[in-house]
This record gives sequence, C-alpha cells and structure tokens, in this order.
Amino acid sequence: MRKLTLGLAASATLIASSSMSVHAAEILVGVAAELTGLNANVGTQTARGIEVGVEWLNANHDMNGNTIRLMIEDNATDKAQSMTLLNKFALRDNVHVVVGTSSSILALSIAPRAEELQVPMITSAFAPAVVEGRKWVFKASDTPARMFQSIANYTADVLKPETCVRVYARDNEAYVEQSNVWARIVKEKGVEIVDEPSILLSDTDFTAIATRIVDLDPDCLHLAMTPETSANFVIQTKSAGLDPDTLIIGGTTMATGFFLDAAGEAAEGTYSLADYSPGGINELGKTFEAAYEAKFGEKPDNFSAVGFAEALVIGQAIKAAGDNPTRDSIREAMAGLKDVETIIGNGTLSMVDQMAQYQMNVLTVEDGQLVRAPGQ
Amino acid sequence: MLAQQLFNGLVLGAVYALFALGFNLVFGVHKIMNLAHGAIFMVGAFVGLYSVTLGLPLWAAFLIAMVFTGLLSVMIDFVAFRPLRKTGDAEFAMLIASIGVEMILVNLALRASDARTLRFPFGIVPVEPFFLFGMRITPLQFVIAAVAVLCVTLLAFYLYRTSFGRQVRAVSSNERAAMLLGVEPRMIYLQTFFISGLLAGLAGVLIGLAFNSINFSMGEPYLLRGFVVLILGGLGSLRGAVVAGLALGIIQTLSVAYFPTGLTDIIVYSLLFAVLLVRPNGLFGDAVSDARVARR
Repeated sequence: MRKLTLGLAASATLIASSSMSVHAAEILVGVAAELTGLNANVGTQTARGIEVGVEWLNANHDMNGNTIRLMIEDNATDKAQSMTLLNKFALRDNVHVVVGTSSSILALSIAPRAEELQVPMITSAFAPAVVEGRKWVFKASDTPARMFQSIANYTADVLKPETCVRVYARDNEAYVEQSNVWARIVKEKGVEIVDEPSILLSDTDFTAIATRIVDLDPDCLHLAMTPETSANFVIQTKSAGLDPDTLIIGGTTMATGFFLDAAGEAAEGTYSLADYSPGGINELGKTFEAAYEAKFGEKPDNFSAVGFAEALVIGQAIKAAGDNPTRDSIREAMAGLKDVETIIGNGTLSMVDQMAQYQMNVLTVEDGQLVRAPGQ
Repeated sequence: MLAQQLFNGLVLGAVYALFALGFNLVFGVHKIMNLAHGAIFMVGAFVGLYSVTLGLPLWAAFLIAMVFTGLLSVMIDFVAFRPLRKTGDAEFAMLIASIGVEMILVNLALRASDARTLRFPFGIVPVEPFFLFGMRITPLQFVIAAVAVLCVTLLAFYLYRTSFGRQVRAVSSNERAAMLLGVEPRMIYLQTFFISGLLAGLAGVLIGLAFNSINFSMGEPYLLRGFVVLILGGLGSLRGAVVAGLALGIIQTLSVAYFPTGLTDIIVYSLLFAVLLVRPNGLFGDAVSDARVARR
C-alpha cells in the first residue's frame, strides 16, 4: 500500500511538472527603439530601461512560470525602418508583444499596422491619437492634459508667477500640445501669458528671441522642446540678461541627464515634469536604480524609468493573461490592468482607455541634481 | 531693444557671410555648387571639439579644424569633382556628387557622435558680457564680427592684390586662356578648395562655440541660408555674399524680434523673391562677377 501511495505521489509530481513545462513558455517581446537618429537620446534610454525591466521580471517576477525573451532593434528614428521592424517582429519572429517607438510621429505611422496585424503594441509616445480607435495599441503614459496638469498646477498654485512667456518647438506636434495644455491651465488660474514665440528644433541661435524675452521681463519662462534645445535656450536667454529670479519651467525633456549636462550651471533652479522621481518613489524604484547603475554604469533618467515601467506593464499583462498567453489574451489583460505596482508616478498605475494613468512628479535642479520639488 | 537686436542681426549676418564666402568662392571661380559645404562646416566643428577634448588649447583647435577642413575640401575636389570635370560639361553631375559627399560626411558624424548634440566644455571662452551704448555684448559675439571682417579683408587682398589672386581670376574668367598664359589650373582648384574648406572649418568652430551646439545636422540650416545669401548677393560675388549675409542676418533677427516667430521664414523668402524680381542676378550679380573681373 505504501509503495502504491509513493508511486501515485511520484506519478502526480511527474504529471504536475510535465503540465508546468507545457504551460511555461518563452514570451517574445520585440522592441523597435530609436537607438540612432534624431530621437536617439530618448530611445536609447527607454530601451535600456526595458532591458533592465525584463531582466528583473525574468529573475524575480512570477509570470506563471513564463519568461520573456527580448529583441531590441534600431528604428533609426525613421518611419520606414520602424514599419519594417514591426512587420519583422509580427510576421517573422512571431512576437507576443511589440514595444513601439518613443517618438509620436513614428508611433502614429506604425500603429495602424499593429492593429491590422493584431499584435499588442505598447509605446511611450506622447500623442494620445496613437491609441484612438484601436484596441491593440497601448500608451505607457497618460494624456497630455492629465500629464501636464501637475506642472501647470504647480506653476500657478505653488510658484505663483503673474506673467509668463511660453516658447515651444513649432515643428513637433507633441511640444506644441505640451505648451498649449500648460498655457490653458495656467491661464485659467489667472497667469498672464505675455508672449508665445516659437522655434524650430534645428535652430541653434536664439539671441533674437532671448533679447525679446528679456525685454518683457516675465516672472516665468515655459519651454517645450528637446533637452539639448532647452539647454541651449536657457543658456542663451540667461546670457542675454534674463532676470535670475525668472522661473524656468519645462516638461519631461528637462528632467533628463542630457539637459543637465548640456545646460551646466544654467540648469540650476529650473523646474521640470517627470514620470519618475530620482531616488525611487518606492522599494522597486530603488531596486531599478541599483540594477540600472550596475548594468550601465550611470544613473537612469526619466526615459529609462518609463522603459522599465513599460516592461512591468508587459510582465503584469503576461501574468494576468493566465496559462499559455497569446497575443489576444495579453492584449485583453493589458487593457484591464488596475493599480499595478510601478516605479513612475506615485508608485501605481492603471490602464484607462488603453493609456497608463498615474500622477506625475515635479522636479527641480539643486546642486546639479534633479530632486523632487517642494510643496507638492 | 532695437539697437541690441540690430547688433544681434549683424553678428548673425557675419556668421552667414563667413559661411557663404567659401561657398561662393568655389561657385564664383569654378561654377561648382558644392552642397557638401554645410557638411564640411559641421566637420570643422567636430574636429575643433575633439581637439579641445584631447586637451589642446582653443587656438590650436581652431588651427587644426581649419587645416583639416581645408584638406578635406581639397580631397573632395580630388575624389568627387576632378574626375567629373574631365568629362567636360558636368555641372549637374558635380551637384549630385556634392550631395553624395554631404550624405557620407553627415552619416559618419552621426555614427561618431551617436546622434547626440555635443558642446564645448563650459568656461572655454569668457561669457561675461560687456556693455557698449546700452547693448549687451558677449566676447564671442565681438570675436565673430571681427573674424568676419578679417576674413573678408584677407580674401579680398588675396584675390585682388596678389599674383595668386590674379591667377585665380584668370582661371575663373577663362580656364583655357589662362592655361595658354602659363597658369596651372590644378593649383588654382587646390587653392580655392583649400580656402573654402578653411573658412567653413573656422565658421563651424565659431558657431559651435557661440551657440553651444554641435551635431551631425548642424550644417543643413546654414547651407540653406548660405544658398539664399549666394542668390541674393549674386552668384560668385564676394561683395554680394558679405552684404547679403549681413542683410539676411538683420532681416531675420528683426522679424523674430517684432513679428510672430512663425512668420520669419515667410518674411525672409518673400523678400528674396522681391529682390529677385527687381534684380534677377541678385544684388551684385551681373554678367561678370567679382571673382571673374580680369584686372583691378
């Protein structure tokens, strides 16, 4: 009898383990990142964050015994190359999930194809239009209106300027939208926008606009442009004689190492908006920082953190998709994610209308470091 | 503000003039529209930056960048233009070749810089402004204006007061006749391409320093403006390049200062069309450009 019981137990263990091996799978995730080209500064950092995120998921996170195999390729900040990669990932590699581009322009160009191929695509692109009318495409960040509410409210309620000048890159839809959202909210709260000049991202000489701004002597200056252009603009405006008390406020691009490096001392005291709060908002954030620094020998920036958060969303969706995850079950699970632990915002996010919703952070530069701004 | 903006415009115009001088010299003498000039300018900025990064003083970085881009320009002539010239009427082919060279240089710079925007170290040039007639002037703005004046003077001296200059103008006027008179055209090509590259390299380092930004695509906007200066001033006219460069800088700055910024290009290009309607050959362009005047 004892022998029979032992035999049955051994058989049950064998069946259970063989059943586990049937269900455990390698989930393929293809990343089409801007590793070169105009948006390489964003894409490289995002891809690195995803890489660290997937390593952490495979080592520590229960995804029903599944593991993720990551394929990162360079879209060269190019529409055609992004489309080629999407087709390759979906049709040849047969991936379960595609992590789309960081650039809105590229994401908008490939999103219809992801929908057509019925492959879940998550992107850190800014434009909400990328998900509109689609069920296979997800956005790893909130709507611009909700994202920029934090810094617009902070500007009007905490910093309290009376007059502001806003400057934006008119050749990039995302920056125009950022600036419009910020301006609309601060105006509603009584701040007067006294001038709204625009630039092109290829511009490098801002002396004429800088002189125009200095002449207006505003209480605050809001910038919506790339990190390097923001840095250049801040330096040239200060060099043109901007009042040192003028508040300089920007978006997520100014919460980056690129901005700090390029602006040098001129970055001191500037305010920016970030998904991620340096140092980590929770234990997972601290773990991420340590893992990132160990792997790449430098501190992560906001884009790296967003990449890590994208990986977490994928991991959670795989877990929620149950046994034998398919593209369809992962898509469905991703759409229903609620109060998922993350490292951005205040530590949790939910997927609402296929867009991740979380509270943004306002940062400031103190002694050359990004820190959480007081009064939030 | 008007005086300050006029000064800003003059400095920007000096930059355009400096860029256009080399561009125009090659066109004026050899009728080659070298669209790789913007890329040579960009290479100058990169070489200057790398020289400084290696610990060399700024003056040495300027020198190395200028010599490097001068030699690069000569090499481009050897590799891309000279073989086409031998085939006879090859203006269009040379234009396409220059685009090819431009793309090669830009892509090499893209790889070398990892597509990032680079900058010279902080503090390499004094940034504390001084005040003159109520205007705020940085030392670098002053240097740019002075360098532009110096380059124009030296180039004019070279073309009109030296034996080499006479030979350049002779080749420009009629290459075959110049050969019969004992002028070696290959030496003239070498000289003009070297000077053109040298000026581009100088402009590249100055712009990189002045505007805190060096990247693989930095030559493109200047090439476009250089093209406008070339047309506006008159093809091949050095006086035209200087006057049109300064005029373009001032018009652009004043339009940014006093009109909605999105209108700047509309204003600049409308004025270009208006000038061309009145003077189809540009402000100083006529049948015979400066560089082709036989004797002064």
